[in-house]
Amino acid sequence: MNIENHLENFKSEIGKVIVGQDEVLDLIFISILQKGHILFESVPGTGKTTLSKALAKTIGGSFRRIQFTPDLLPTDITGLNMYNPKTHDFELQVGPIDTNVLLADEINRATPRTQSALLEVMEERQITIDGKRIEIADPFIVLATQNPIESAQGTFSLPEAQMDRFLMRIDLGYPSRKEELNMMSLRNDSNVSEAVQTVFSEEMITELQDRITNITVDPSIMEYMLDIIHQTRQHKYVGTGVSPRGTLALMHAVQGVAMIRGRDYVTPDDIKYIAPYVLSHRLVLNLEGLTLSNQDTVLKAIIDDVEVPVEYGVSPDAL
Amino acid sequence: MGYHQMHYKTEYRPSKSMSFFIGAVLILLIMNILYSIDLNPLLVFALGLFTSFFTLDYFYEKTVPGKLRASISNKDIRLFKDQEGMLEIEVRNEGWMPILNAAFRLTAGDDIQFEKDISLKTRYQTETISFFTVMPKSSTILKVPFRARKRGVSKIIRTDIEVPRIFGFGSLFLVQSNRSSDELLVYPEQLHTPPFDMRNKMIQGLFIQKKALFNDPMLTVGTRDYHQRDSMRDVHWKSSAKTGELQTRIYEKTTHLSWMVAINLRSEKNYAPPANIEEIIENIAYLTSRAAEAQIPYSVFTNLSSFDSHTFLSRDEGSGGLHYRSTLETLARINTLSFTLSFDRLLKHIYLHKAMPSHLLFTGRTDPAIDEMLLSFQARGVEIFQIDESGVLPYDAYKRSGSRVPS
Repeated sequence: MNIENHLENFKSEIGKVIVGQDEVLDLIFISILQKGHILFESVPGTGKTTLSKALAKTIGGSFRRIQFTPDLLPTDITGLNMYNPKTHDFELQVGPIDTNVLLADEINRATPRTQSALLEVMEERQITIDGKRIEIADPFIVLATQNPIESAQGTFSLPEAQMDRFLMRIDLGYPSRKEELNMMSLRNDSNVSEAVQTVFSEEMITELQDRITNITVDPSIMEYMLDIIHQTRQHKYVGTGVSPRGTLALMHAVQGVAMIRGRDYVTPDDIKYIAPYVLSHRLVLNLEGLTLSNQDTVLKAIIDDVEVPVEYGVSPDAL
Repeated sequence: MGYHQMHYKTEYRPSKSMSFFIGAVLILLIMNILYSIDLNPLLVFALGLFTSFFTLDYFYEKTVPGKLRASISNKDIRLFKDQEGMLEIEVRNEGWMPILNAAFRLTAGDDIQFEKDISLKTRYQTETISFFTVMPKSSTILKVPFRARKRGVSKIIRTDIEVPRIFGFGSLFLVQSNRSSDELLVYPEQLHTPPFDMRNKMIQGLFIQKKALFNDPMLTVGTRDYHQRDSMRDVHWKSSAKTGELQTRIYEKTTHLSWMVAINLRSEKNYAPPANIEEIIENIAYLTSRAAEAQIPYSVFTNLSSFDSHTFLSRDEGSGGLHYRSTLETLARINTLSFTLSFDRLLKHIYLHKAMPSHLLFTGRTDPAIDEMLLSFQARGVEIFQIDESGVLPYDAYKRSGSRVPS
């Protein structure tokens, strides 16, 4: 089965519960192929949780959901050594983290201390409880949802280290008028778990991931990516720029873009397309930046400023 | 900040040249009918030509307005006073007819000034014209440079477009058919003032956290042996099980430091704002930037009437960069020509409905009623400071009111 068929199957399954969002589904598909964690951020009622649940269903394997609340503790996520009065001994109880797909719903409602419980597992696919290391199932993907920080009371913004671990931040936004009309006429009240079928097995994901690694990234394209990354570290509105982890994330994501576009090589256009989803949430703006601008605008300015690599004889203006 | 699409409708303005042309053709036609039985081939040709142009022109007039859209593409524009900015307007032609050398007229509030300002007669407005050409099913971006003139919110008042008729004479005048909701925020400058003493406080009974006066229950720093009066809620069960004895959590100590900035927009003798109100606002912009950097939580209140769920224009307590952004927005939105309420009423509202801060910073004049309210704050351990354009000075309400300091 070629990549177009996989993508089409995936979209048709998600399309049973979510209307439209074609571009978002492309991005999610790329993230799945790269085993990247996704942060869905948009205003309430745009289908973040439904999409996450549907997405989890399309990927074979186990699925767990944690509703993040202010009183949630790190051990509620990772697990703990529980005292057993019968045996007079501590027994390891691994938390809901031990799954293939974890839906962290409303992640910013928990305290940063609890949010930090995900740091180790998101990066290393393992947890450590009282010094004991526990490997987590593969693939392991975190799908997190959050409302925009500014508009929500009683929320805690995600720590920078946590944000850096998400491959992409995707804003679902409002559907178009036509899509919303379609949504109204469909009157789809079906249960997500019943409506959506699994389309990816573990073997399929592994196979597609192998194919992605064969996508060629020319050295000039790598230089272009590095130019953008380095600009993020020097911009006057940025306190902390994109990390080396972000560089690798961009590299993986552009390979995914090239793949779904049916190419075996990456172009600067792929980078321009995907960079806002992969890099903007990694920028930590300084006070001036927070006051006068925002992450998306700063990144757009950086991308516009960085010179695009062109073949010899082609004018950059022609691009 | 709205991302708003502007729609247009045709405003009928008679074209003198078109009327002249129609008149001339009609006269020629009548004269021809009167003086000859057969129609002159040249006249027939001219009439046909005119009819074709007239039909195409009619089609153009009916097609263009409904298919032209404009929107400000660089939404959320925020600047400090005297900064220069660029407004980017995307004009999209969804029709099948090209629009050649059209003029886009943009009118905004005078908190900003367009680089090529053409407004001469109207006060409190700035206006500019940009020319553009846009092909069918495509769009173009108009770049309009401007400078932030003064603190405030510059609303886009209206836009209109003059499109030259490509098949006729004169121009089509398109006026915006929906209301603009876009606005540009001009923040106040930051007036640097000497720092003032802001010691951390730990006051019993004033901390917002109701269950722990001095401890932060979210931050456990260690454990100790259980004492008889310790709450069972504070027992660290895991540690107790490990050690075989009851252990109590030791929490991180909390400090209480928060500012409340109360801005008085009434001057001494009348309802007009104080003469130095802009300097005071600039001073507050600076002080709150320091608070934002130091992660000190603060709130801002004004005695300006608010028409939303809050009685007064205010910004609830928060900290950090994003809160500072909101604060600057609130400061930009203070309209000194708007309806104000008495300052002592504002203070009473705060006293009754808001958590007590450690520091109250107020601006403007005082009178016995205000002093009485400030006295109530001071009696609850709040340190009071008065802000003017020169800086922040301690304010002793007891001394001012002649009351006795409670022992």
